[in-house]
Amino acid sequence: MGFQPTRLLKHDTPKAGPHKGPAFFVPPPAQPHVRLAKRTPGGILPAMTDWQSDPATLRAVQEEIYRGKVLRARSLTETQRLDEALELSNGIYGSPGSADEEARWDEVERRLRILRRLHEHNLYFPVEAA
Amino acid sequence: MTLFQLAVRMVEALETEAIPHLLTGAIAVGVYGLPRGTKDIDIVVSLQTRGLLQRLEQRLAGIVTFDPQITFETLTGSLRHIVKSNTRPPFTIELFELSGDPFVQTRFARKCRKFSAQLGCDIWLPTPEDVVVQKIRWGRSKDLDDARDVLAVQTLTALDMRYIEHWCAQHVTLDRLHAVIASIPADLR
Repeated sequence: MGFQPTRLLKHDTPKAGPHKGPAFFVPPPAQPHVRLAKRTPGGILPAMTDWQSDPATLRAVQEEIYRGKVLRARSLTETQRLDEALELSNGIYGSPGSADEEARWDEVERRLRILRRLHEHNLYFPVEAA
Repeated sequence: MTLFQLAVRMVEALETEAIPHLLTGAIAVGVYGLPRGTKDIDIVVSLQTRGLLQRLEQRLAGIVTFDPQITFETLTGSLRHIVKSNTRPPFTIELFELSGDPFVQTRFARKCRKFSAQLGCDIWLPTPEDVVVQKIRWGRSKDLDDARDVLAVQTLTALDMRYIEHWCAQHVTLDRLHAVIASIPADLR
């Protein structure tokens, strides 16, 4: 069985009336032989299934993720970092004057599209278990 | 109106009323550390007279409501004014009056001006060293994370560590500072 991309389910008749429930990420069915890994400059990080049982591995993964964030932040100018912080805050929180629930779900979808692009650009990808 | 359009209105009002001010909190951390989202804005203001606050309130009438209840921040002795936008849901700007606390005074005197393309204006921010000292002083978990991020992004060699250590010694928070530094991967320090 291959990797099934995460699906976004939204209210099935969004124009027909108010939402009956929230939008969800619906995880793919359990696939014990397929796990997500992260491609890093140093190679592929260890498989996720051992993280919780191996503190050293967990620590290494945490440090690698943190390192990536710091190096990326260093590559930006102060103005770019400031504007990114503002952009992050302008997302879901950014429309205090809008009571339009549909617009808010559209914003959620926009953010999920960004996440999908991360997958498409190979930042995160499925790997077979060893 | 977005949260930061609200911030622009506040900053413009402060500039118009010639009220010296300084943006702190997540905005400052975003500039010097790892950008992150926020749902409120913290601003330190130097009010020469109480009337300035009333003029500020009048200038922003219809946009925000000033909470009549003023709170007292025990660590630095600052008075805090809660300002909520007249939107649904409301967003918060916290105005901290400049207190006589020596570090707060020094941080305010060292503030520097930065341009934001998103806001379309200049804003006043603390220096990265002052962000670290303040965050270490607060000492909550998220504050220590913020301090670590600023130290890691700016690097210990680029920051004025003597200045940071001086104030941490004054605040008896040197142990906290050293623990935060130790939590940064060695190659990022």
